[in-house]
Amino acid sequence: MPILAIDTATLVSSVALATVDNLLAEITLQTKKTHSELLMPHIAKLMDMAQVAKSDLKGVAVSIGPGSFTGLRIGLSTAKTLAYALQIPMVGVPTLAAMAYGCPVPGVILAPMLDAQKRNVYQALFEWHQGELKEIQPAIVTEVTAALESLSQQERPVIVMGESAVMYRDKIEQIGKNLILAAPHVVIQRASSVAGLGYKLIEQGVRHDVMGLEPLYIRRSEAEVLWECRHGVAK
Amino acid sequence: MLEFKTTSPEETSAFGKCLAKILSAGKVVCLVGDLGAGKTLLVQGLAEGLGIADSVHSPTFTILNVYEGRFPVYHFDLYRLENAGELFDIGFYEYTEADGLSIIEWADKFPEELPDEYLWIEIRSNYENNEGSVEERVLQVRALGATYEQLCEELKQTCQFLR
Repeated sequence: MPILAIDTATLVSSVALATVDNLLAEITLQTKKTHSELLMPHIAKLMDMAQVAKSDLKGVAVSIGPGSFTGLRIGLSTAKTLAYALQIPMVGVPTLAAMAYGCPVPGVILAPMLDAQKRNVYQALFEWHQGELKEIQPAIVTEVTAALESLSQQERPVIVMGESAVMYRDKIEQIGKNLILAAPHVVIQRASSVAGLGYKLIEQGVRHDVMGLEPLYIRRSEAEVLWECRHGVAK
Repeated sequence: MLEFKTTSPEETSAFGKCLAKILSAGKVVCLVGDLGAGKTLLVQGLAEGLGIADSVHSPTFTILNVYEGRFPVYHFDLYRLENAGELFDIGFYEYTEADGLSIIEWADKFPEELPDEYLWIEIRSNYENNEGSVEERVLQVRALGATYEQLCEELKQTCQFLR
């Protein structure tokens, strides 16, 4: 019995059906079409082609960010709608961790970076240790050049992934050293990785509430601080 | 800085059409002027010039309207926003760096949050001084960045309302 996985955290639109140890089907598109037009038709096509009925679905895993504001909202609301309507469990999967999960290489640092605008990136660092994915640095918003310079000081090879790795490809090549730009099929988000990490979380007993799950907006706290400064904290 | 003058609502709308000829996807226009200065009229003319069929009105309560034309147009009205953090909440930075044309009404509320380069248009009416009887509008256009300076030059050559 498969789960459905969704990643719409950037312009990449990816949906997958996977069981715990098998990827049944995946549709990944990197076009400029908006997710609001693509996502549901893709899910319908995917299930049709893989001959998976709605009643076969055992859960929904969705990429929750950080990432594109609009993309995350579309992905989350779609996942929530399906989980609610089909009465199946839902699990939110951190986007950057899912990317690292799709690249199980020991001995290197995995550095997924997604666009946070104004030359900033959302960045987290991971490594694989004895078959387990470990987070070295949680997701932050950081200026891209400083982030790349800092990574180039590391002693280990660093695989840079994500849309910002592609966007700042020249910068990565210019710095060179230990920085490696991930290959095109690894550099983007894949729903299959969301499914993989999703299963991992489900195994650990993680379930998210359909009504309560929110996207992971890294700057959110900042907005709240500003709000509180201006309006005073309610007591 | 360029200065233009229109003497009727129709002309203000026609000035918007002049803008449509020089603007393209990826550009940002900041629009400043008091309530009733004619900002919406200008945007309506601009949208018409871009071949947008949707009805165009100021997104005072929705904050953002998206119109589909040859390229998407993101029409912001920041009037009701109270702090810069709310810009993040509406995905402002994503839109202004995306492949559409961004029009930002009340851009002067958050000058520090604007993109690095843009076209800045300030509309002033003589409404108050003339007891509402005069329809004259002065439109000041400033450019920030070389790309927009070039656009100003094109506007100077092509728009008949130059003062």
